[in-house]
Amino acid sequence: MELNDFKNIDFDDPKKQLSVKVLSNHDNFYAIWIEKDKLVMELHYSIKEKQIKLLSGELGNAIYNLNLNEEQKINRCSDAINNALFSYYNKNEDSKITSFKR
Amino acid sequence: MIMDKKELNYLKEKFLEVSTINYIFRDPLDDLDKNFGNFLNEAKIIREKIHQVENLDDFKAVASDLRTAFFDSFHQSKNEMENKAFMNRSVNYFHKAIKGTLENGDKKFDEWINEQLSIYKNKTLTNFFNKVDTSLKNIFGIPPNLKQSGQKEYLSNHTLNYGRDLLNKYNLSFIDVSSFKTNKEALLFLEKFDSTASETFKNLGTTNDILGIHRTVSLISNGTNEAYYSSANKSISFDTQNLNKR
Repeated sequence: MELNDFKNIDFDDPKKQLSVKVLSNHDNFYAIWIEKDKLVMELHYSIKEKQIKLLSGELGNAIYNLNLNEEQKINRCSDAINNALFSYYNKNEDSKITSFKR
Repeated sequence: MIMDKKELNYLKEKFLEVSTINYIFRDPLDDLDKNFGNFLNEAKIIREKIHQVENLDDFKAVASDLRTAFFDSFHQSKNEMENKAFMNRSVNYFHKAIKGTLENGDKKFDEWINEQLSIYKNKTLTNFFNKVDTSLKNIFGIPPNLKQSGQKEYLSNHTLNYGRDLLNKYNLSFIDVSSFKTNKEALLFLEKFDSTASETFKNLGTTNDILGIHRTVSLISNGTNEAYYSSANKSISFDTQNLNKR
């Protein structure tokens, strides 16, 4: 596998004592999220097999134990991780442009 | 403060991340950029020195050299300080090069160090590093040390040449690609920017160089979070935030 095909997001928010790391390629998605001294979620999802291989941590365990199917669980996890990465995605939002007008 | 080697290495890695400087300039540099060109060269040397430090005091001393180098470059240019374009450009360099970790002096830098050490402590307590290393090895088959490095790639000649073509095409002064970790990411965005801008100016019925010379062209955010343009110093900056969402 070429290293450049590999996605790697590192996000630290020192104020919230929050760290999220996401690793993924075409076949696998891995995320680990800590806040203060707690493991909030660790997730390994096999994209190829459409199967959760590992789901742990406080929030991870809570989602795992919900009466949901695999797809619903992975959607919950994905929403939660995106929320944790909110600041990462929205940094400098106001100053960024893509469309040009007179 | 006594610090173990892993803790110090984490600090070095984070510092190298926030002080990454990857600009594409016109070649040769114009007069306005010469002093900052010197600063950027010196910054590269200082970043190399960071790898060699073995304790926190040395780390802080070498890191502070980056700030000193910046102000020395700035001081040499003081005759030009009344020039608004120069001022704007210097603020941009300073912000991008040091990202606030040094801008308010040692106190601010100490705060930054403490924040990083707090994050490090949490990551150690939660076994974060080991979990990530194991996953890299078991899931992705990548040796952990390959992805754990905070070092980003310097720009390849191909990326630099393409970037310089865009500087001329759009009459820009410089392009900041500091936030890209790889040449592939930087190139992808340069290509996207080029195609989007070309199409936009074609629709406007204007030439491409209007981006750099025509102050009445406003660049309005549509919320997709891809690039930002400074009309004051005719620069375009990119980041990887949106790329990572795709």
